[in-house]
Amino acid sequence: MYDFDWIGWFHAAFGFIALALGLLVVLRRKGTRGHRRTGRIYVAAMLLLNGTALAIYDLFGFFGPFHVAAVVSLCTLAAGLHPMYARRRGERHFERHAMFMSWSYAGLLAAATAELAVRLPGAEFASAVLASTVLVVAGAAFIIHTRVPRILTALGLSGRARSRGTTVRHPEETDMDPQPNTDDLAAMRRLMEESSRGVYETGKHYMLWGLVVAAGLCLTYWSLGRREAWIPWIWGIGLLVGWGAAAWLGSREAARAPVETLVSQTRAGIWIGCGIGMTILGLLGYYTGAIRPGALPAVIAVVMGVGYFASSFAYRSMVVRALGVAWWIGAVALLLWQGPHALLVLAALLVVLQVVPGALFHRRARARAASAAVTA
Amino acid sequence: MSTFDHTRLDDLIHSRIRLAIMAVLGGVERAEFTYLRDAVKTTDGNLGAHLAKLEAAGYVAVDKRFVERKPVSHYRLTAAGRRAFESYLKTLDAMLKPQGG
Repeated sequence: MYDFDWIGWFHAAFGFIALALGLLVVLRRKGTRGHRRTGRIYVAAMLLLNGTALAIYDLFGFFGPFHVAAVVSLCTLAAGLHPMYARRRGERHFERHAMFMSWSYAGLLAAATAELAVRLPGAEFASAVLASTVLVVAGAAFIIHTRVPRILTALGLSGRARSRGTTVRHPEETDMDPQPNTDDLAAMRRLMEESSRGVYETGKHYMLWGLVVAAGLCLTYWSLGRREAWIPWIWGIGLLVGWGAAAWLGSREAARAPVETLVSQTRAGIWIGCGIGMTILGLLGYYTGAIRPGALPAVIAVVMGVGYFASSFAYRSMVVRALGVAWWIGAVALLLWQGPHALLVLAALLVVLQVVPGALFHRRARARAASAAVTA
Repeated sequence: MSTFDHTRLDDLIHSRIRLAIMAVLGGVERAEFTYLRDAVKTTDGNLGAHLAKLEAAGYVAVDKRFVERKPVSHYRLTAAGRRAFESYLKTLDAMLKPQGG
């Protein structure tokens, strides 16, 4: 009979308390007295949770990756609390608070999911932890970066918005404003039609994913027969970096895009959908053995083809459609010609059919921005 | 009520600039101030004043923020704005259509 693991039990108990309190904060109105009270208890539970985590040495017997995670969690918590207690509040302090606290809870959720995943029958420790973390973090990134700005705006707290100057009444604003006639109606129709077609494409997402995945494929090829235990780590870290950078890029571009249309939303939706699809197929398909590793490159190429083909209608571009077809031809080749070299073939396809088109998009966007700056 | 009853036209939209703003926003999900200004071909001050009017009527919603210290304002039509614009176009269309015939 071994000793009752007090630290482990406390750790789990604080974890459940923090999970429940965090959920309460997420679901309820922000900024109320209740929000602050629940939040303080959540912070206390998180401190104890991470404190106990730092005291657990069973797993590795030394300062391991989970201790790093606990330190990261504590730093996130501190960064989330600081704006609320700082003597001089910055312009964006509510945003900082909301973002860091959300990520604190996302980290907690990821840890809880990882705890569940390693207890699944037949789960291999490293891949279970990584797969669950990547999925939860990707989901959290999406939810946080879409919901938090909206909540802040709804509360009138998006600091940036409040400091914008007041509207200036302009002398031109009079009832003498000319009124539309028949010609105008046709012109308006044209204006509407034209504006609805705009797609603002910087190509950065294409280059980012092309390079991240191509690098992962090359590393995987290199580790075959040498360091196979590294493979889940390569993809776990690669996908985390990829999704993190994509979320960051996406929020930056959303703030800068001159116009957002149904077309540009459709394009973004297609690619986010394909990205999530490939992440599920790649991680879970490989991890559960449902997809043979040899067939995985072809599966990815098929999804890439779908992404390009579907989005070509949003871009109204035959070149993009041709890229989709090229991806499918690549998929057929990868299926007919399986083997470890398929990893390198897929990496090459990514460079030619993903990074290069991304760079071309990027060049065009820069040229357009430059000419707009000249005419403005 | 006659088809030509002028009171049936929404005064707020029945101005060249505001109609152009509504038309641009009608085609998109949201647009940035400078994009709108270039599409409508007007000046900052004029556009701002007209947008303020549309905003006050609840036809247009704005999301203002700072990107690298520069103010960026994104405008979009509200559901009420979209409805008003559609009914305006319908009314004007009916008025301009050849009668009888």
